[in-house]
Amino acid sequence: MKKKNIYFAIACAILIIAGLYLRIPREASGIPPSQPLADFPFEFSGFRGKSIFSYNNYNASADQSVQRIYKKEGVDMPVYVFLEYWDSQSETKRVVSPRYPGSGWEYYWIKTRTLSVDSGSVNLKEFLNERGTKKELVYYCFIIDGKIISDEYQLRLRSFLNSMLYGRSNIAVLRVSMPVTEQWSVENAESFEENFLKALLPVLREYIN
Amino acid sequence: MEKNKIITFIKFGVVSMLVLFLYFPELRSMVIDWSDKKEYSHGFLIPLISGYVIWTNREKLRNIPAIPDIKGLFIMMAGIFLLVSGSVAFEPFTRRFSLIITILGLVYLLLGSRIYKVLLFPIGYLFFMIPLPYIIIKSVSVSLRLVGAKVTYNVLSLLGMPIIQDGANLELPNISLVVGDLCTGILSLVAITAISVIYAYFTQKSLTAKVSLVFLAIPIAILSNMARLVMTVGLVYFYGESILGKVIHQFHGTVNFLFTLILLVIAGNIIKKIDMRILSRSSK
Repeated sequence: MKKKNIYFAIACAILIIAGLYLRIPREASGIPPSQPLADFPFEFSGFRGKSIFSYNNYNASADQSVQRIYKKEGVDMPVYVFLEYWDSQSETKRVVSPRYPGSGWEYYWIKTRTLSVDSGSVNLKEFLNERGTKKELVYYCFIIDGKIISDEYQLRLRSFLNSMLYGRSNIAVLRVSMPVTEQWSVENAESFEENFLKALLPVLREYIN
Repeated sequence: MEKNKIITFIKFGVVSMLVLFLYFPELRSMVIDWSDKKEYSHGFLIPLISGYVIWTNREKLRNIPAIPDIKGLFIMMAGIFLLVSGSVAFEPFTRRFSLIITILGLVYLLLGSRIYKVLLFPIGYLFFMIPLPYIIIKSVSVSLRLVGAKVTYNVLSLLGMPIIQDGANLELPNISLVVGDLCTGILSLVAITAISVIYAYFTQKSLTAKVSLVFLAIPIAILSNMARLVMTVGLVYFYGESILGKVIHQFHGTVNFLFTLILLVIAGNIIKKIDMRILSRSSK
């Protein structure tokens, strides 16, 4: 009889403590990027860019956001760059994977690409986004703790550890895309975007680390 | 004896209220999901089915004495850990799933292992009321769209229809069609699986037969939906795109769902007959 009452008391105590703990308002400490994203260069390595607005706001809840279109001289096709940063996340303000933009866009294959950059190699996700006859080749990755991560399960684990151990949830997402047409094939877009990314990523590290 | 019963009911009430206090935000958001998302409208039924299974075991439960076991504390703590982790990491699926683990832990801790074994299935069945993470649903849906388009193209090409496939797009002479998420049957796949589990529980004797039926339900549902896809595209080829707006297309999904259930019942009967034969041979 005593054991029943003790276990009952233990169970109630744990439920009460957990309930009260979870009800405590908790604001993860906001950590801004190394430099404001608005200062991200419009020109680098032969690419020239300008800001664009109201294209497709994939991550409207970000604290800082850069939406640019870059071109290289001699190449008419544009590269779209979406770079979003969260000082901290919450239930209503969190990163959404670029894989799920909605608005009728869908992907049918996705793969991991490894790029060699100055600091080593990085993995990014690549997929072909389609809506009707429109296609675009998209590369994306997440930046957390200064590391570039493309695997979303790994991202979740890292985010969880950061929140639990350090009370922080800052994160960035980079999305780079290029139209794919009859004249500009997937292979052309791959080659161009990868060269662009090799130029962009070292610059990005100065802003997000 | 009466006094003991009253105390037991009070304890049950207190624990239930505390679980409700702890999990109220998750339960509320889940009910909202069941209301808002068609593919999870079956969520309302899952707790009722779970309750019914417990009720069918009431005589067995009455005859098992409650012997609290400290091992249940570990299961309960695992559930609480998942809840806290899910809160910190903003993962609703983890938080909702933790409810099942916490309840199982409480049963083991307060009622003991024998009662836990009887209640393991009905409480575990509550898993089907939890909306799956979007990343999983989307990944499955993307694969099913491509496979659906491929199968439709192959079947209709064999039948001599002029059709071209490009990813999930199907080009007919009179129209271009896209195999969308709704066409994959993803909406009904979760419900079919939930139905197959409970159907297997009540109709099959051995664990092997139960598991076999549940595993068979998924390809049955997928193939049945492929057949619907082929039929729809065929009808569009012969009668034009207006068929997509007609009642026949709207109710096609419902008819297909019922057809899948019939196939499930047939599969269940076949597996039961095989199982009975194996069991009678092994008893000889």
